[in-house]
Amino acid sequence: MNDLQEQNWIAAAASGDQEAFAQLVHMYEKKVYALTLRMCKNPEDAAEAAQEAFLSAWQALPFFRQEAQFSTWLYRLASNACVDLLRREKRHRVNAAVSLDDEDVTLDFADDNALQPHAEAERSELRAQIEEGLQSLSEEHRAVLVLREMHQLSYDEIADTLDLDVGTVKSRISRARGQLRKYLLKNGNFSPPAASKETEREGR
Amino acid sequence: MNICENYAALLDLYIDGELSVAEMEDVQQHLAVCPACQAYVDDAFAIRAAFPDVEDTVLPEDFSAGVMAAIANASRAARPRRSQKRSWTRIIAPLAACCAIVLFVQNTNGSKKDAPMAAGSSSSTTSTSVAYSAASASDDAMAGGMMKSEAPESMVTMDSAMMETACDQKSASSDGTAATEPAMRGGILCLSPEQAEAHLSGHDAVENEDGILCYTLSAEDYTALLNALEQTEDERNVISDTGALPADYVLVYQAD
Repeated sequence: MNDLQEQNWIAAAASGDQEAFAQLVHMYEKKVYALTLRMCKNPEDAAEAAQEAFLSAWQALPFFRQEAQFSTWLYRLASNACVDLLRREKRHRVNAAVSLDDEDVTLDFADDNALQPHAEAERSELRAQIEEGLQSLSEEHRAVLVLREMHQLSYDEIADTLDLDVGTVKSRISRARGQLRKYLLKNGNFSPPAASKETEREGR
Repeated sequence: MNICENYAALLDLYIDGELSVAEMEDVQQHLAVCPACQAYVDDAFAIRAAFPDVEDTVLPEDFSAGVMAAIANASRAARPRRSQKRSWTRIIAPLAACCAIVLFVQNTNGSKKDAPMAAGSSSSTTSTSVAYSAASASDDAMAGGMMKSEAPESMVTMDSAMMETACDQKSASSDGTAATEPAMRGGILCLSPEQAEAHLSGHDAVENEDGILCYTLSAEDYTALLNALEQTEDERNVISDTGALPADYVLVYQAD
């Protein structure tokens, strides 16, 4: 996938070419959904927010400034759609005592300490815990960490995406990572073995 | 074990490759002698290694087909004027009511008719019928649902698309400028959060039920805002279509 091709699709879609926009949807749907899935409480909301993001993109594309990054712009729409959805839900929720997610957060994983020998299994277990740990973070902290680790955006790009200054991005990443680490340490098999884990994705 | 205070601010930047070469070397030297900070960095890389992948994300079935169907729907009516957002319907309803009243008054004053019940059918000289037929002709989606013989009051319950068109027609015919001004649509502006912060900080806003902040400005302030927007490069960000309102955008109305 080259940038020129993407630029062409963007230009064509901006002038109303739905086929070109469909290409952009294919190109970005996973990335957008991956983000909304972590931002929203459930897959249904995530799909709705992702669809909303693409719809907004389609409608606002004629106003899209070419000097901006299409991807960060799209993530921004997605993140806005999630915030919108969460806000709407919050308003409609009637004092539901404790949400499922809150319960999940306090689940005790002490029994799971029997380590699986296989490294891949260990990794997928850690992955599952990371997913849970992410849900224990606030929306703001979750968003920066997901954009950093999953979408591999730089601090500047995250700042652009979420409309923050870079200083705020720095402190949120630090806080988010620290909290996630604390969660993983507290909940079990993420401490001494971690030090010897592979660092295959070090750097970008 | 806690990480060292001196390095707390640098470790994440180190992990994320946001440091200069000299700073990185400094951190590396520190890590060699500090197990606590080294453990933090190791854990961070372990998190990165096990972090969920975009590629592993399983999309809902037919996701892109759904998106494209929604877009086709939204576009059938004419992009980018329409959107599927329900919120817009609720914003436009009171406006349409105003349009209906204005049209009604114009109509009764102008043609001295008591009730414009036949608007659009035979009395093509009334402004109401102009608005109606223009709206109907330009809006396939609504053409079937709107009876031309309905009384103007019924516009309140009409679809947003129709109302928008009707409002356009009204403003175009009343001052002749609104229709050509891309930033303005019947005295409504959509501003980005940044623009709102830059230009509306002194004004009070009311949040409508969809959480959209709405400002109502006097004609004078409204004009000043338009001018201000024209004087900055922000102008290009003004969205002429409130249907495409992204999150956190605000609406600005011009008071009568």
